[in-house]
Order: sequence, then structure tokens, then C-alpha cells
Amino acid sequence: MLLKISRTMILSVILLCSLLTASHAAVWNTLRVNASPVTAESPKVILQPGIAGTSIIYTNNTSATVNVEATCWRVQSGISYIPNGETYTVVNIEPVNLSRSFLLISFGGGISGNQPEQDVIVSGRFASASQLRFERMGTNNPANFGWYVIEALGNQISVQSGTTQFAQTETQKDVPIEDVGDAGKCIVVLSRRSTGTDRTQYNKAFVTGELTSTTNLRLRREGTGTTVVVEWFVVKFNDSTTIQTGETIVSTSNPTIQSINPVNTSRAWLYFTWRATANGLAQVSVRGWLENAGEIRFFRRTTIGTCYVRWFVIEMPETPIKVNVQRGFHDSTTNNEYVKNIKIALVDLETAFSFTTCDSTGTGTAFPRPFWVESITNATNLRLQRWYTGQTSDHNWQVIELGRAKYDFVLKIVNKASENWKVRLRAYAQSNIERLVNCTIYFRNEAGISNQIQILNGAYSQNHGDWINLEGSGSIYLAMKISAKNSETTFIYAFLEVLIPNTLTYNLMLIEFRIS
Amino acid sequence: MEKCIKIHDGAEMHMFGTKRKKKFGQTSLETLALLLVALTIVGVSAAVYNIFYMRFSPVSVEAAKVQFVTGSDGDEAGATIGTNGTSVIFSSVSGWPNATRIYEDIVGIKNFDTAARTILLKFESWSGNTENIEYIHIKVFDESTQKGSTVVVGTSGSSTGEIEIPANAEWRVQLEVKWKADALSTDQVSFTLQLIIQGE
Repeated sequence: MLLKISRTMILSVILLCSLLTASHAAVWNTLRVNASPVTAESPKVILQPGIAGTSIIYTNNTSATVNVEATCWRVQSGISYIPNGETYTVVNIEPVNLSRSFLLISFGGGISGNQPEQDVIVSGRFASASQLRFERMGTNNPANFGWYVIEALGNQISVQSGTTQFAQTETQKDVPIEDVGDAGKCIVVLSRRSTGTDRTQYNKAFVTGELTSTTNLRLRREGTGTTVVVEWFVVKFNDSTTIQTGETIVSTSNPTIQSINPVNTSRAWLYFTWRATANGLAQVSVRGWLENAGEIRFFRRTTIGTCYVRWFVIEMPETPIKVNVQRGFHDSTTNNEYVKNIKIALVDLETAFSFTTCDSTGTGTAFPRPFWVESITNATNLRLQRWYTGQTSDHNWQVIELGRAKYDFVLKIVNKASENWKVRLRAYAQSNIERLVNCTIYFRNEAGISNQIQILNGAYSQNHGDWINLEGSGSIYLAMKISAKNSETTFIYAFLEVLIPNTLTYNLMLIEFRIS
Repeated sequence: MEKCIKIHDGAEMHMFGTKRKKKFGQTSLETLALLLVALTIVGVSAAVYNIFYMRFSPVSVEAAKVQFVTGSDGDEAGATIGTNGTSVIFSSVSGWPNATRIYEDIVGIKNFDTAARTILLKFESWSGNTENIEYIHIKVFDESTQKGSTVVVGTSGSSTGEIEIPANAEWRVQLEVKWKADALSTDQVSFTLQLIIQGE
């Protein structure tokens, strides 16, 4: 009997302990979340294809792929001077690829008074990938100059450069160069310095350059007696740019007309060098311009002597980046002007440069009156400046905007609803953006633009934009400006975020940007 | 002479010395009764219980320590939080085909207790045109920090895992829904999640 009671007690204790353990471990409260129904609805905001680049719109117009090509140009620019007592100065620049870069120079003397060519005429070259070296022969007074470094970020140009010296007795130099393959695709860009110690031999420092074969650069001048050092660049265009070149004698006829094969003047620009047989302000000062699609004109204020003009008309391709060339004539009615500010249409300073030529009144030797330094001081202003007044000069100017690839309309974002929505763009993934020098993806409508995504020097400076109002039944455009330093491919994956009116709820519409 | 009454053939009953004979049917009934008694005794023996009492007194109603609270996207999603914050129903969640709809704060989860609680949000079931769903993801955030794993609606057992919500903390639940590109505006699905709170 006692045994039976004991068994019962033990069993009871075990059962109670088990119950306690279970109670402690498994007390759960379960709350429920029901979503019923979750529906699919027609999109209120949709994507439509643009007319720039190539866009693909997917089913339901809620995602897209945009294919564009990047610009491959970059321009660096500045003005500076060689100090009094110095023969040279150096200017630091952002590193460039020397095989794809060339240098344009203008100079203007340094004092308001007569100066010999050795102190005034400035040459320039690349001392290294990140340094420019500007030189003159003399050391008196400052020597002002302006410069543009034009760099192809892709392989659309190949550049050879070098330094060649004319001995006092030489008027022609033939310089071997690496085979360019097609001389008809090349231009020759020059700057020089001279030993002339007075103002009677300026004309001897004017040099022309041309390719006489695919392996020979010919440099020429008129007259001997000074030593002239030439810094030259042979620029070969590897893309569909077309080059026309020739030599035109500018003598007694004003203007002198040179016919060319028709070009599209909005994307063609004129570059020329010349040599002069006679010394004097007007004698050596020739201006030139594209009068129309089929005609170049040159002008001097004198018929004394002859200028042999080696001209190049560079007609750049329409795609992928359309070059925009502005040009104009700026006359001078007073002889005491130091500065001319010329209003230009808005340009992108990072891809724009200028090339200006002028004539001059006066047949004397009050140099450097006809020499002006040119610079684009802001997006809408071309500035010409000299340091010695006395005669007037009329200028033919060109502003060449190589342009970042600019796609005004890669996609259209349409609001099908009557109420206003808000949209913005957000990048969430990418590959190979390191090659992008400058890339801006932005909204555009009548009210203006809103930058949404920006990449500078290979990194995001902005990966999303502000909310932009998308009017009921309205639309906005998605646009891009891009420059890249090589011909690889970049992918940017972004969401168009579409905010439902008066809520914090939004939709994500995937847009893939493929930048080649 | 002994008086004898004959009851039936072969049987005799004695009265006061008188012998009376039993009939055969009478004996069977007695046997049956005896058998029943015996069975009863055996049965009673098998059902011998010892009864202990567990007493619950009182079983009370108390406020849930962890409740659903209104999220800033709740109205857009048609959220209705049940009485006492222990359930929530969304009646107007929608999305565009091939685009992701984000309800960043579709509902809140708040711990009203003074102690941390372990919770777990878990997919339970779904139905409807599920074949046209690219995905429905549920995420729990403490401000911008995701807590636990993403709950993938439609994946059996998918949950946040156990996550500890601090005392008085309020977290937000984010719902992301993406319909496939060829989904129709007539398509719809329903789904249920469980929010499991441990140890109240």
C-alpha cells in the first residue's frame, strides 16, 4: 500500500514539472497581418522613347534602357605671362594624354609700348602630361599669353608634337614624323618664338606648317636673319571629321576669296597659319573666316607684301557629339581699346575654345599692337585683350564648343493622371563609371532643368536629385550630357521614383543607362 | 411424514424441513445477474482515478504588449488596425506591372512594454494570381536600419527571424510589391503574415 502511494506521488510531481516547463517555453502571442487584395493597376506615370540616343521601352512603359555615346573631348584653358626677366614660365594643368592633346596659343606683349619680337612672341609645349611650358627668346617686360589645351578623351585624334628650329639662314624645314597614314586627315598647329631684337623682322617669325607626305612635316617662313623655334603639333583625326586644306595667297585683293567644298558651318571651323613677306602691323595681320558653306575669306588692311595662308577647314562629325561653332566679326572703331568683350551664346567651358584672327591698321612697326590674347572668361563671354594700343583691329572670332555628348531628349516621362505627381531619379548601381569625366543626367521642361545624377572624374557627386513636380497630364524630358576618357562602356542603373500624390508611397521604375 | 411440495419435475423445496425444487430458468437469471455484478466490479477496478485540480483564477484580459500602430503609408495601403492593435488588414495595396511599389511605413510595430520583446514576422499563406507576382517583400526597419531578414511572401517559412524590439520602441514595416510585366489590372493576390511575440 505504501509503495502504491509513493508511486502516485512521484508521478504527480513529474507531470507538474513538465507542465511548468512547457508553459515557460511556449507562450506566444500571434498577431495577424492580412493584405487582401494586393492588386495590379495600370501605371499612372509612364516612360516614352526619346529622339536622342536609342531608348527601349519595355512592357507597360514602366522600365527602359537608354543607349548613348559619350563625348570624348576636354578643354583646359587659361591666361598667364612670362615674368619680366624670364624666358619661360610653366603652367600646371590636369594631366592629359599627350598622344591625344594639342595646344593653341595667343600672345599680346606686356607693356604699353613698342617691344621686339623676342620679348613678345610666345611658344608653348607640353613639358609633361601635367605641365605646360611657355617660352620666349627675350626677357624684357612681361609677356602675356592665353592658351587652350584640347584633349581627346577617346581615340578620335592622334597627336605628334615636336620642336624645330629655323637657323638664321633657313626658310624651310622638313621634319620627319611617324607615318600618319592619311595626310588628308591632319592639321598642323603651330606656335613659335623668335630672336628678333628689334621690330623690323616680325614677319620672319610667321611660320606655316603642312604635311607634304604622310611622314613629312614642312615648316616655312619668309625671310632670314632671325632664329625661330617652332613648337608643332600634327593632329590626325581618326573619326569621320573631314579636313580641307590649302595655301592661299593674300596680297592685293581684299578680301581674298578661297572656295572650298561645301561644309556644314555649324560644325566646321577654320584654323590657319601664315607667313608674311613684308614687315609692318597691317602687312603681317590677316584675318580669315568662313563666309559661307563653300567659301573662306581673308582680309588685310594693306596690299603691301604678301601673306601665304595655310588654312585648314575642320568639319567635325554630327554624331555622336555635335560640335557647335559660333563665329562673328567684331570691328574696332577706336584705337585706344585694350579689351574687347564679345557676347557669345552659352558654352560649356570644359569643351570650348576659341580661335580668333585680326587685321590691323598702320603699316609701321609699333608692335605688338595687333596681337591680342583671347580667352573665354565665362560661358557667355569671349575676351580679347592687348597691352599696347594705337591702331584698330577688326576681329573674326570663332568659338568651337566640342561639347559633351548632349542628349536633350532620351526619354519622356508622362503623367497620365490629372493630379500632380512628383518624380526624381536615383542611381542604385553602376559599372565602370571611372571612365566618365563628366556625366549629368537631368530633367528638362519649359520651367528649366534639374540635375538628378552627376558623375565627376569617375565618382558620383550626386546620386539622386530633388523631387520635381510632374503636372497632371503633363510631361518632362530626361536629358544627358556626358564626356568620357575612353571608348569603353559604362552602365548606370537608376530608379525613377514616382511619388503618389499626398503620400509617402512611391513607385520605382527601372532605367538602365548604357553609355558607350 | 415429511410434507413435500413439488415445484417441478425433479425439484423439491423443503419448507421448514420442507424441500422445494428450483426451475431451470430461474438459475440462468441468477447466473446472469452474478456475471453483471462481476463485470461491474472489474470495470470499477479499471477506472480508478486520482483527481488533482488545476485552478485558473482569474483568467484575465490584458492589453497586448506589442501592437500594430498606424504607419505613415497606412492610409494609402488601406490599413485597418484591429481593436487593441492585435491585427491589421490592408485592403488597397497595389502596384504597377514591372515597377516596384514601396510602402515604406505601411504599419508600425510598437513595444508598449518596459522590457524588450522578441518578435518574429513570418509568412503564413497566400492565394490568388500569385504566378504574376515578381515579388512581395516585407522588411522591418528601425528607422533606416533593417531588422532581421526580408520576409519573402510566397516562400514557406520565410520570416524575419527572431528579433528583439527594445522597450517602448516603434519600428516600421516596409512592403515592396512588384508585379510581372505582363500582369493584368484584374490580377490580385491575398496573403497573410503572422507576427509572433514571445513571452508575454
